[in-house]
Amino acid sequence: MTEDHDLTVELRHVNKSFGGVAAVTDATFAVRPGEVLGLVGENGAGKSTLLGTFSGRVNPDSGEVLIRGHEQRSLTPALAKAAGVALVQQELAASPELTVAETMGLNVRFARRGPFIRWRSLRQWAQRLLDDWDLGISADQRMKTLTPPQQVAINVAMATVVNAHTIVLDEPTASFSPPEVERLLALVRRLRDQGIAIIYVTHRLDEVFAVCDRVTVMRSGEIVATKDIGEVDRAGLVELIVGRALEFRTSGVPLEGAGDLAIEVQEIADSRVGPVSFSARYGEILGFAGLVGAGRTELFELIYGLRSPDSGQVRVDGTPHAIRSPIGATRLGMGLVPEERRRSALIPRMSVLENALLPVLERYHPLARRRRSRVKDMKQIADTTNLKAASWSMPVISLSGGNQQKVVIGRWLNAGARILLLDEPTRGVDIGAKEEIYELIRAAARDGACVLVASSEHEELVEICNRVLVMREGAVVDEVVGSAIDARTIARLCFGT
Amino acid sequence: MTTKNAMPKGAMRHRLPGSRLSVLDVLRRFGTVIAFVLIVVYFAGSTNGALISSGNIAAILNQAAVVGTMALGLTVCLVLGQLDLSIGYVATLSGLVVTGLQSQQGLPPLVSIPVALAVAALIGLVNGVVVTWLKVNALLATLAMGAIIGGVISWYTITPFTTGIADDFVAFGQTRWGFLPAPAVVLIATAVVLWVFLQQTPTGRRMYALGGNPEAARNAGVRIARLQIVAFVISGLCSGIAGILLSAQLGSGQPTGAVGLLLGAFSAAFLGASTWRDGEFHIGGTILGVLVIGVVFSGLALTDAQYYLKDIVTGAILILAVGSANLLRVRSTR
Repeated sequence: MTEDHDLTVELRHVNKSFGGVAAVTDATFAVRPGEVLGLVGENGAGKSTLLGTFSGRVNPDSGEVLIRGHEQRSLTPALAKAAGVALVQQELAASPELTVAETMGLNVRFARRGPFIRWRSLRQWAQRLLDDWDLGISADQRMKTLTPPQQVAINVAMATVVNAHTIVLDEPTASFSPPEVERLLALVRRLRDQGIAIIYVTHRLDEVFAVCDRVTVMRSGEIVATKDIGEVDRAGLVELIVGRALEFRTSGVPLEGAGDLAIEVQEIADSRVGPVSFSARYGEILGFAGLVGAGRTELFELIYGLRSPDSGQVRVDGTPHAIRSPIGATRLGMGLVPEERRRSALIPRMSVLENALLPVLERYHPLARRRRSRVKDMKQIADTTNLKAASWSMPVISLSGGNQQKVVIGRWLNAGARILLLDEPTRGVDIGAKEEIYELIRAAARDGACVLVASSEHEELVEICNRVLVMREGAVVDEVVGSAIDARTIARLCFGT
Repeated sequence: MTTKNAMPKGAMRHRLPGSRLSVLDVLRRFGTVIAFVLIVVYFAGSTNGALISSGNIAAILNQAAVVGTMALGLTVCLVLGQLDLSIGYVATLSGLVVTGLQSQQGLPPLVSIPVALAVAALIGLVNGVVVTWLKVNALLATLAMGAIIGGVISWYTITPFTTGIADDFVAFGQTRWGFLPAPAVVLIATAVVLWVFLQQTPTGRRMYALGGNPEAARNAGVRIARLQIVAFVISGLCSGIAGILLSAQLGSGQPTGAVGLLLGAFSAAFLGASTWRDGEFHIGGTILGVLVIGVVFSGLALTDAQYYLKDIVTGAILILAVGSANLLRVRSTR
């Protein structure tokens, strides 16, 4: 075996799949000291899994992982850190009330005399490090007073003192302002000049061209290309990221016979989103595209009363409403199908039937005046959604992902929701059920519902939407209508080219 | 595909309908029932049958009526993920109010009972409002409320109310038909009402939904605030009933009456949760838990165990019940 000691991290033919779905396929990858290697790809392309294989969070199914030429088996995050691979996350896992010095002590080491902390040495050491990197932060500041860019910077500074030879920056600049990005990039260049390897994961192609020496592109779990930055231009890079093969429909569906205006969102904004304005009609399927962190989920939460907007308003059927809670939203005929169904939609231990009827249980009250039959309504839901369950009294969690999702969507159809907010409606759903859920969404719109769909799968938006709004950094930046909708266009707009 | 979508190992290991029950499953689901039967058999043997004489069964049920009614109210709170530490004090206060109004004001039970219940419900309401609107952690809120009620009790009286209590009120506490004492009938009635409430009404089912996944319940438009307040009111009301039962049994109002019953009520509810329905609190389980504790106490008393064993055993049961349930639980699919 030829050991190349010049490489900091090397992967050879690494494979990893989750539950039969390949996340990373035959990845071969090498990082050199003193370079900035960009890692780009769409959501779900396998970047996080790839990073996980050499930072100790993912155990590969096969293939070799080498750190400084030494093969690593059963790597853990602690072992990876000890071997010199530092993963920098945006949020420091720290208590907000701790001082910067204390946090750095916790993460690196405390200066001690016997069992006691030597506070003055700790503070001086921390301050020296902060000043050395020109961070403009006092070691006595409380963590909660730091901005995200400052937290990232401290994290990077700490990585250098534990002698990391490879620093992974995973989406470091989400929510950074341009000057803040510039400062981080300066930091990255300085690290590189010290001979440290930096793996820079980002959706922002500007930053790739500004700081990276090489760039690796992932698509559908595979590394499709690794190029020197001079070899590729922006359009070429997007081409590599998006690829070609589109298996489904290639252009969106023009809207026919739309109904009245269902929802009008006017200049709605809070700290994470907006201001955003849009409107949608009954019978329309309106898509929301964007990269992770573009603010789609947050926008839905604002509309549904899960977050309170700082400004702006929402009109439903032409009347302005202040929606302060999901109860208010459901009263107006809305229904949310959240992104993480297990965490935010299902009561795991309760039955399929009770989960499906949850929003309207009072209809089935034994003493209700026009009492409805639970079984009859459940049958209706099961028929409409093509729900396959061995029994309606078994815990909902025992269903497959696709059938669970049918329960959540069916719940709102049964409740008579007229405005559906679907956040990643086919996440964790197998291909067959996916198609059924698309048909379910189309049928709901045909029956007059107004459907808002947020999705990271552009093919999905092409498949079902009459119109797609593209979001970037909390704002709606583009609109694509009808037959103009295609996956490549959406992807380009998401990346801002 | 990101790593957070990965299924943890063992996530698929849930029981499919129709598959055979393993020994672990049986222990997990019926452990408390089995324990109950074993305890009854053991003490019935070691007391030469005195445990299951009709007089002793009545004594057990009499005691179970008080602890049980408290435990039932507590169960409702536990169902939606809250707890109520004030129930011992609420029961005590209610017992004092119901006897005090008869003894000091000469009011008939028909007046004093509703007033005592109203006081108990009001305390529950305050608990609910403090937890829900002021967002005080239930542990702290009800602990503090207990202390406040303790102070109010000391202000109200430091001596028991023993005179001037209506004869039929005292008689009710002593009545029994064979092995079935009248207070136990109240327990059974309360259990039936709460079972119907939790199992058959939308409000009850929403309480389970809220306890099962608060975030999902909120997203489905469940009125969390209202449910929480209702649960605390029910808990207060049940403790009020328990206090009235106790004072009828004693024929007097005691300033320390039911304070020590808190742990018994908790043990009963948690014992009940570890049976049949895998960690879910439910009325049937709580009743079973109450019976287990009642039989253990009675058995210890009949075998001339030292008095201090009672507290040690109650504490141990609580730890054992929760601990064993956790150990035996096959990791569910979340």
